[in-house]
Amino acid sequence: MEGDSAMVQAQQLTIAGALENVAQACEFVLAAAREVGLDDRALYHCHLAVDEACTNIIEHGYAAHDLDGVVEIVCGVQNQYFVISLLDDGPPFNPLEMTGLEQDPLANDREPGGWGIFFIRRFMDAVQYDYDMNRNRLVMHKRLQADADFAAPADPASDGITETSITSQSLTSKVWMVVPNGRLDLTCVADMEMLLAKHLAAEHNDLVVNMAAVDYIASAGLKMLVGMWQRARERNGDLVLTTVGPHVREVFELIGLDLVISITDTPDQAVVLLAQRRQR
Amino acid sequence: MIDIQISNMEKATLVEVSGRIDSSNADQLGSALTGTVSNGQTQIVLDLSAVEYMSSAGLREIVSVYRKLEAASGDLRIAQPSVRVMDVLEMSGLDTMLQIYPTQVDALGSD
Repeated sequence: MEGDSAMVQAQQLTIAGALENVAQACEFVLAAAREVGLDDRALYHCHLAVDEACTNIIEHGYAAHDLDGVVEIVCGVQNQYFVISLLDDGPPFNPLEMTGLEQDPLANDREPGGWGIFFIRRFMDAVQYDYDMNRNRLVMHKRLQADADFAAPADPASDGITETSITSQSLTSKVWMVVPNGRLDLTCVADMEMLLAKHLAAEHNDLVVNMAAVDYIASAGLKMLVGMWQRARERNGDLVLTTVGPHVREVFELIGLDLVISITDTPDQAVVLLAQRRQR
Repeated sequence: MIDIQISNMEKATLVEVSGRIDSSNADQLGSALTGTVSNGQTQIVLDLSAVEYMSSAGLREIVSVYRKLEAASGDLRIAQPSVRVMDVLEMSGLDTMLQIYPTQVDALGSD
Protein backbone atom coordinates (compact mmCIF):
# COMPACT_ATOMS: atom_id res chain seq x y z
CA MET A 1 0.00 0.00 0.00
CA GLU A 2 2.95 2.34 0.67
CA GLY A 3 3.57 2.54 -3.06
CA ASP A 4 0.26 4.29 -3.80
CA SER A 5 0.57 7.50 -1.90
CA ALA A 6 1.89 8.55 1.44
CA MET A 7 -0.20 8.24 4.54
CA VAL A 8 -1.19 11.63 5.90
CA GLN A 9 -2.11 12.63 9.43
CA ALA A 10 -0.32 9.49 10.59
CA GLN A 11 -0.27 8.80 14.32
CA GLN A 12 1.37 6.02 16.25
CA LEU A 13 0.84 4.32 19.61
CA THR A 14 2.51 1.30 21.19
CA ILE A 15 0.81 -0.68 23.94
CA ALA A 16 2.12 -3.56 26.03
CA GLY A 17 0.41 -6.77 24.95
CA ALA A 18 -2.15 -7.14 27.73
CA LEU A 19 -5.94 -7.17 27.44
CA GLU A 20 -6.36 -4.27 29.84
CA ASN A 21 -4.52 -2.03 27.35
CA VAL A 22 -6.81 -2.78 24.44
CA ALA A 23 -9.30 -0.09 25.46
CA GLN A 24 -6.50 2.48 25.24
CA ALA A 25 -5.67 1.34 21.71
CA CYS A 26 -9.34 1.66 20.75
CA GLU A 27 -9.59 5.17 22.20
CA PHE A 28 -6.47 6.21 20.30
CA VAL A 29 -7.85 4.98 16.98
CA LEU A 30 -11.30 6.44 17.65
CA ALA A 31 -9.83 9.87 18.33
CA ALA A 32 -7.89 9.75 15.06
CA ALA A 33 -10.93 8.47 13.14
CA ARG A 34 -13.12 11.21 14.58
CA GLU A 35 -10.57 13.82 13.49
CA VAL A 36 -10.81 12.71 9.88
CA GLY A 37 -14.61 12.83 10.00
CA LEU A 38 -15.81 9.23 10.07
CA ASP A 39 -19.48 8.99 11.08
CA ASP A 40 -20.75 7.24 14.21
CA ARG A 41 -21.36 3.90 12.59
CA ALA A 42 -17.94 3.86 10.92
CA LEU A 43 -16.37 4.78 14.26
CA TYR A 44 -18.12 1.85 15.84
CA HIS A 45 -16.80 -0.45 13.12
CA CYS A 46 -13.23 0.80 13.63
CA HIS A 47 -13.64 0.33 17.38
CA LEU A 48 -14.70 -3.28 16.89
CA ALA A 49 -11.97 -3.99 14.34
CA VAL A 50 -9.17 -2.67 16.56
CA ASP A 51 -10.61 -4.37 19.64
CA GLU A 52 -10.90 -7.72 17.87
CA ALA A 53 -7.50 -7.51 16.18
CA CYS A 54 -5.62 -6.49 19.34
CA THR A 55 -7.42 -9.15 21.37
CA ASN A 56 -6.41 -11.80 18.84
CA ILE A 57 -2.79 -10.70 18.87
CA ILE A 58 -2.63 -10.67 22.67
CA GLU A 59 -4.54 -13.91 23.28
CA HIS A 60 -3.31 -16.02 20.40
CA GLY A 61 -0.04 -14.39 19.39
CA TYR A 62 1.45 -13.68 22.80
CA ALA A 63 -0.41 -15.31 25.72
CA ALA A 64 -0.90 -18.68 24.01
CA HIS A 65 2.88 -18.90 23.47
CA ASP A 66 3.85 -17.47 26.85
CA LEU A 67 5.36 -14.46 25.16
CA ASP A 68 5.47 -10.85 26.23
CA GLY A 69 5.35 -8.27 23.52
CA VAL A 70 3.90 -5.04 22.29
CA VAL A 71 1.29 -4.04 19.74
CA GLU A 72 2.10 -1.03 17.60
CA ILE A 73 -0.84 0.84 16.16
CA VAL A 74 -0.43 3.28 13.28
CA CYS A 75 -3.36 5.10 11.74
CA GLY A 76 -3.86 7.81 9.20
CA VAL A 77 -5.43 8.67 5.88
CA GLN A 78 -4.39 7.23 2.55
CA ASN A 79 -6.27 8.03 -0.65
CA GLN A 80 -9.94 7.86 0.33
CA TYR A 81 -9.42 5.57 3.29
CA PHE A 82 -8.80 5.73 7.00
CA VAL A 83 -6.07 3.14 7.47
CA ILE A 84 -5.25 1.29 10.67
CA SER A 85 -2.09 -0.86 10.82
CA LEU A 86 -1.35 -3.22 13.69
CA LEU A 87 2.14 -4.63 14.12
CA ASP A 88 3.24 -7.34 16.54
CA ASP A 89 6.22 -9.58 17.23
CA GLY A 90 4.31 -12.83 17.79
CA PRO A 91 4.89 -15.95 15.68
CA PRO A 92 3.98 -15.44 12.00
CA PHE A 93 0.23 -15.81 11.72
CA ASN A 94 -2.10 -14.77 8.93
CA PRO A 95 -5.60 -14.33 10.41
CA LEU A 96 -7.09 -13.88 6.95
CA GLU A 97 -6.49 -17.56 6.25
CA MET A 98 -9.10 -18.54 8.81
CA THR A 99 -12.31 -19.47 7.04
CA GLY A 100 -15.56 -21.31 7.47
CA LEU A 101 -17.43 -18.78 9.57
CA GLU A 102 -19.93 -17.54 7.04
CA GLN A 103 -21.71 -20.88 6.87
CA ASP A 104 -22.66 -21.30 10.51
CA PRO A 105 -22.27 -18.63 13.14
CA LEU A 106 -23.07 -21.20 15.82
CA ALA A 107 -20.47 -23.73 14.66
CA ASN A 108 -19.13 -25.63 17.63
CA ASP A 109 -15.55 -25.94 16.55
CA ARG A 110 -14.76 -22.33 15.83
CA GLU A 111 -11.05 -21.67 15.66
CA PRO A 112 -9.76 -19.37 18.38
CA GLY A 113 -10.23 -15.79 17.34
CA GLY A 114 -12.47 -16.74 14.46
CA TRP A 115 -15.31 -14.40 15.36
CA GLY A 116 -12.96 -11.48 15.61
CA ILE A 117 -11.45 -11.77 12.18
CA PHE A 118 -14.91 -12.39 10.76
CA PHE A 119 -16.06 -9.06 12.18
CA ILE A 120 -12.98 -7.29 10.90
CA ARG A 121 -13.63 -8.53 7.38
CA ARG A 122 -17.31 -7.63 7.49
CA PHE A 123 -16.92 -4.20 9.06
CA MET A 124 -13.85 -2.91 7.27
CA ASP A 125 -13.67 -2.20 3.54
CA ALA A 126 -10.33 -3.92 2.93
CA VAL A 127 -7.93 -5.92 5.07
CA GLN A 128 -4.39 -7.04 4.22
CA TYR A 129 -1.80 -9.07 6.03
CA ASP A 130 1.93 -9.48 5.56
CA TYR A 131 4.92 -10.67 7.56
CA ASP A 132 7.85 -8.37 7.17
CA MET A 133 11.02 -7.71 9.19
CA ASN A 134 9.96 -10.40 11.67
CA ARG A 135 6.66 -8.69 12.40
CA ASN A 136 3.02 -9.49 11.69
CA ARG A 137 1.28 -6.59 10.06
CA LEU A 138 -2.47 -6.32 9.65
CA VAL A 139 -3.67 -3.33 7.64
CA MET A 140 -7.35 -2.40 7.76
CA HIS A 141 -9.05 0.18 5.56
CA LYS A 142 -12.26 2.08 6.20
CA ARG A 143 -13.65 4.26 3.43
CA LEU A 144 -13.86 7.90 4.47
CA GLN A 145 -17.20 8.57 2.84
CA ALA A 146 -19.74 5.89 3.59
CA ASP A 147 -22.23 5.94 0.76
CA ALA A 148 -22.02 8.85 -1.61
CA ASP A 149 -25.60 8.34 -2.75
CA PHE A 150 -27.07 9.10 0.62
CA ALA A 151 -26.70 12.38 2.42
CA ALA A 152 -24.75 12.28 5.62
CA PRO A 153 -26.82 12.82 8.74
CA ALA A 154 -27.03 16.47 9.59
CA ASP A 155 -24.83 17.69 12.39
CA PRO A 156 -27.30 18.06 15.25
CA ALA A 157 -25.29 20.94 16.67
CA SER A 158 -25.72 23.09 13.57
CA ASP A 159 -29.39 23.71 13.08
CA GLY A 160 -28.95 27.41 12.49
CA ILE A 161 -30.13 27.81 8.92
CA THR A 162 -32.70 25.12 8.29
CA GLU A 163 -34.48 24.58 5.12
CA THR A 164 -36.40 21.36 4.87
CA SER A 165 -33.71 18.76 4.84
CA ILE A 166 -34.05 15.02 4.77
CA THR A 167 -31.18 12.86 5.87
CA SER A 168 -30.64 9.16 6.04
CA GLN A 169 -28.27 6.92 7.91
CA SER A 170 -27.74 3.23 8.38
CA LEU A 171 -28.77 1.99 11.80
CA THR A 172 -27.45 -1.52 11.28
CA SER A 173 -26.14 -3.46 8.31
CA LYS A 174 -29.72 -4.16 7.23
CA VAL A 175 -31.73 -1.21 8.45
CA TRP A 176 -31.72 2.36 7.14
CA MET A 177 -33.34 5.31 8.82
CA VAL A 178 -34.69 8.32 6.99
CA VAL A 179 -35.11 11.48 9.01
CA PRO A 180 -37.38 14.18 7.60
CA ASN A 181 -36.99 17.53 9.24
CA GLY A 182 -39.87 19.90 9.80
CA ARG A 183 -43.18 19.99 7.92
CA LEU A 184 -43.90 17.00 5.77
CA ASP A 185 -45.88 18.88 3.15
CA LEU A 186 -45.93 18.98 -0.64
CA THR A 187 -42.57 20.70 -1.02
CA CYS A 188 -40.57 17.99 0.65
CA VAL A 189 -42.72 14.95 -0.05
CA ALA A 190 -41.14 14.60 -3.49
CA ASP A 191 -37.62 14.78 -2.04
CA MET A 192 -38.45 12.23 0.57
CA GLU A 193 -40.09 9.92 -1.94
CA MET A 194 -36.98 10.11 -4.09
CA LEU A 195 -34.71 9.30 -1.15
CA LEU A 196 -36.82 6.33 -0.07
CA ALA A 197 -36.98 5.07 -3.66
CA LYS A 198 -33.20 5.30 -3.84
CA HIS A 199 -32.91 3.16 -0.72
CA LEU A 200 -35.28 0.56 -2.15
CA ALA A 201 -33.32 0.54 -5.40
CA ALA A 202 -30.19 -0.18 -3.35
CA GLU A 203 -31.94 -3.16 -1.74
CA HIS A 204 -32.36 -1.34 1.54
CA ASN A 205 -35.80 -2.82 2.08
CA ASP A 206 -36.01 -2.42 5.85
CA LEU A 207 -36.65 1.25 6.43
CA VAL A 208 -37.30 3.33 9.50
CA VAL A 209 -38.78 6.80 9.19
CA ASN A 210 -37.91 8.89 12.21
CA MET A 211 -40.74 11.38 12.68
CA ALA A 212 -39.26 13.12 15.74
CA ALA A 213 -38.77 16.43 13.95
CA VAL A 214 -42.03 16.33 11.98
CA ASP A 215 -44.69 18.50 13.57
CA TYR A 216 -47.05 18.61 10.62
CA ILE A 217 -48.03 16.13 7.95
CA ALA A 218 -50.12 16.90 4.88
CA SER A 219 -52.19 14.33 3.03
CA ALA A 220 -49.50 14.17 0.35
CA GLY A 221 -47.11 13.06 3.08
CA LEU A 222 -49.48 10.37 4.30
CA LYS A 223 -50.00 9.09 0.77
CA MET A 224 -46.28 8.96 0.14
CA LEU A 225 -45.62 7.02 3.38
CA VAL A 226 -48.28 4.45 2.54
CA GLY A 227 -46.92 4.11 -1.00
CA MET A 228 -43.39 3.55 0.28
CA TRP A 229 -44.61 1.11 2.91
CA GLN A 230 -46.33 -0.88 0.16
CA ARG A 231 -43.23 -0.92 -1.99
CA ALA A 232 -41.07 -2.06 0.93
CA ARG A 233 -43.54 -4.86 1.71
CA GLU A 234 -43.57 -5.98 -1.92
CA ARG A 235 -39.83 -6.45 -1.58
CA ASN A 236 -40.22 -8.50 1.60
CA GLY A 237 -39.09 -5.53 3.62
CA ASP A 238 -41.02 -3.18 5.79
CA LEU A 239 -41.30 0.48 6.67
CA VAL A 240 -41.66 1.36 10.33
CA LEU A 241 -42.32 4.79 11.80
CA THR A 242 -40.64 5.83 15.00
CA THR A 243 -40.73 8.67 17.54
CA VAL A 244 -43.97 10.08 16.19
CA GLY A 245 -45.01 13.33 17.86
CA PRO A 246 -48.50 13.72 19.37
CA HIS A 247 -49.92 15.92 16.57
CA VAL A 248 -48.81 13.63 13.80
CA ARG A 249 -49.86 10.59 15.79
CA GLU A 250 -53.34 12.03 16.12
CA VAL A 251 -53.59 12.27 12.35
CA PHE A 252 -52.42 8.67 11.93
CA GLU A 253 -54.97 7.43 14.44
CA LEU A 254 -57.73 9.48 12.89
CA ILE A 255 -57.36 7.77 9.53
CA GLY A 256 -56.36 4.40 11.00
CA LEU A 257 -52.88 4.45 9.54
CA ASP A 258 -51.48 3.30 12.88
CA LEU A 259 -53.27 -0.02 12.33
CA VAL A 260 -51.43 -0.54 9.04
CA ILE A 261 -47.94 0.84 9.52
CA SER A 262 -46.02 -0.14 12.65
CA ILE A 263 -45.07 2.69 14.97
CA THR A 264 -42.43 2.31 17.68
CA ASP A 265 -41.33 4.61 20.46
CA THR A 266 -37.61 4.49 19.66
CA PRO A 267 -35.40 3.70 16.63
CA ASP A 268 -33.92 0.81 18.64
CA GLN A 269 -37.34 -0.79 18.96
CA ALA A 270 -37.93 -0.31 15.24
CA VAL A 271 -34.68 -2.17 14.47
CA VAL A 272 -35.72 -5.09 16.65
CA LEU A 273 -39.21 -5.17 15.17
CA LEU A 274 -37.77 -5.31 11.65
CA ALA A 275 -35.46 -8.15 12.69
CA GLN A 276 -38.45 -10.08 14.02
CA ARG A 277 -40.29 -9.57 10.74
CA ARG A 278 -37.33 -10.93 8.81
CA GLN A 279 -37.39 -14.12 10.86
CA ARG A 280 -40.92 -14.91 9.81
CA MET B 1 -16.74 -1.78 33.12
CA ILE B 2 -19.99 -3.69 32.99
CA ASP B 3 -22.77 -3.91 35.49
CA ILE B 4 -24.99 -6.98 35.71
CA GLN B 5 -28.32 -7.14 37.58
CA ILE B 6 -30.12 -10.43 38.00
CA SER B 7 -33.75 -10.54 39.10
CA ASN B 8 -36.09 -13.49 39.34
CA MET B 9 -39.36 -12.67 37.69
CA GLU B 10 -42.54 -14.70 37.50
CA LYS B 11 -41.83 -16.49 34.25
CA ALA B 12 -38.13 -15.98 33.75
CA THR B 13 -34.86 -14.75 35.16
CA LEU B 14 -34.04 -11.27 34.00
CA VAL B 15 -30.39 -10.46 33.39
CA GLU B 16 -29.79 -6.77 32.73
CA VAL B 17 -26.37 -5.69 31.51
CA SER B 18 -25.04 -2.20 31.07
CA GLY B 19 -21.76 -0.80 29.83
CA ARG B 20 -19.25 -2.01 27.26
CA ILE B 21 -18.70 -5.73 26.82
CA ASP B 22 -15.26 -6.58 25.46
CA SER B 23 -12.57 -9.20 25.94
CA SER B 24 -11.47 -7.69 29.25
CA ASN B 25 -14.84 -8.26 30.95
CA ALA B 26 -16.92 -10.71 28.88
CA ASP B 27 -16.10 -13.50 31.35
CA GLN B 28 -18.15 -11.63 33.98
CA LEU B 29 -21.19 -11.89 31.73
CA GLY B 30 -20.35 -15.54 31.08
CA SER B 31 -20.16 -16.47 34.74
CA ALA B 32 -23.34 -14.54 35.60
CA LEU B 33 -25.25 -16.41 32.90
CA THR B 34 -23.67 -19.77 33.68
CA GLY B 35 -24.41 -19.29 37.38
CA THR B 36 -28.06 -18.64 36.59
CA VAL B 37 -28.31 -21.82 34.53
CA SER B 38 -26.50 -23.83 37.22
CA ASN B 39 -29.09 -22.65 39.72
CA GLY B 40 -31.69 -24.40 37.61
CA GLN B 41 -33.11 -21.25 36.06
CA THR B 42 -33.51 -22.08 32.41
CA GLN B 43 -35.78 -19.29 31.20
CA ILE B 44 -33.48 -16.32 30.75
CA VAL B 45 -34.22 -12.87 29.41
CA LEU B 46 -31.05 -10.95 28.61
CA ASP B 47 -31.71 -7.23 28.45
CA LEU B 48 -29.04 -5.51 26.34
CA SER B 49 -30.67 -2.09 26.02
CA ALA B 50 -27.93 -0.42 28.08
CA VAL B 51 -25.03 -2.08 26.30
CA GLU B 52 -23.45 0.54 24.08
CA TYR B 53 -20.69 -1.67 22.75
CA MET B 54 -20.17 -5.41 22.43
CA SER B 55 -17.31 -7.21 20.74
CA SER B 56 -17.20 -10.86 19.69
CA ALA B 57 -16.11 -11.76 23.21
CA GLY B 58 -19.65 -10.94 24.34
CA LEU B 59 -21.20 -12.93 21.50
CA ARG B 60 -19.15 -15.95 22.48
CA GLU B 61 -20.63 -15.85 25.98
CA ILE B 62 -24.15 -15.49 24.63
CA VAL B 63 -23.67 -18.40 22.23
CA SER B 64 -22.21 -20.48 25.02
CA VAL B 65 -25.20 -19.96 27.33
CA TYR B 66 -27.58 -20.44 24.40
CA ARG B 67 -26.09 -23.92 23.95
CA LYS B 68 -26.33 -24.75 27.64
CA LEU B 69 -29.96 -23.69 27.70
CA GLU B 70 -30.70 -25.66 24.55
CA ALA B 71 -29.27 -28.76 26.23
CA ALA B 72 -31.37 -28.06 29.32
CA SER B 73 -34.56 -27.46 27.27
CA GLY B 74 -34.43 -23.87 28.43
CA ASP B 75 -34.87 -20.64 26.58
CA LEU B 76 -32.80 -17.51 25.99
CA ARG B 77 -34.49 -14.29 24.90
CA ILE B 78 -32.76 -11.05 24.09
CA ALA B 79 -34.62 -7.88 25.03
CA GLN B 80 -34.21 -4.56 23.26
CA PRO B 81 -30.63 -4.70 22.09
CA SER B 82 -29.25 -1.26 21.32
CA VAL B 83 -28.73 -0.47 17.64
CA ARG B 84 -24.99 -1.09 17.93
CA VAL B 85 -25.48 -4.48 19.55
CA MET B 86 -28.10 -5.34 16.94
CA ASP B 87 -25.55 -4.49 14.26
CA VAL B 88 -23.20 -7.11 15.68
CA LEU B 89 -25.99 -9.68 16.08
CA GLU B 90 -26.97 -9.17 12.45
CA MET B 91 -23.45 -9.27 11.09
CA SER B 92 -22.81 -12.52 12.87
CA GLY B 93 -26.10 -14.02 11.72
CA LEU B 94 -27.15 -14.64 15.31
CA ASP B 95 -30.25 -12.49 14.78
CA THR B 96 -31.73 -15.37 12.80
CA MET B 97 -31.27 -17.83 15.64
CA LEU B 98 -31.83 -15.87 18.81
CA GLN B 99 -35.25 -14.68 19.90
CA ILE B 100 -35.10 -10.92 20.01
CA TYR B 101 -37.85 -8.74 21.47
CA PRO B 102 -38.41 -4.99 21.16
CA THR B 103 -39.05 -4.49 24.89
CA GLN B 104 -38.29 -6.19 28.17
CA VAL B 105 -42.01 -6.62 28.79
CA ASP B 106 -42.46 -8.46 25.48
CA ALA B 107 -39.55 -10.75 26.28
CA LEU B 108 -40.68 -11.51 29.81
CA GLY B 109 -44.31 -11.98 28.90
CA SER B 110 -43.94 -14.24 25.89
CA ASP B 111 -44.37 -17.99 26.28
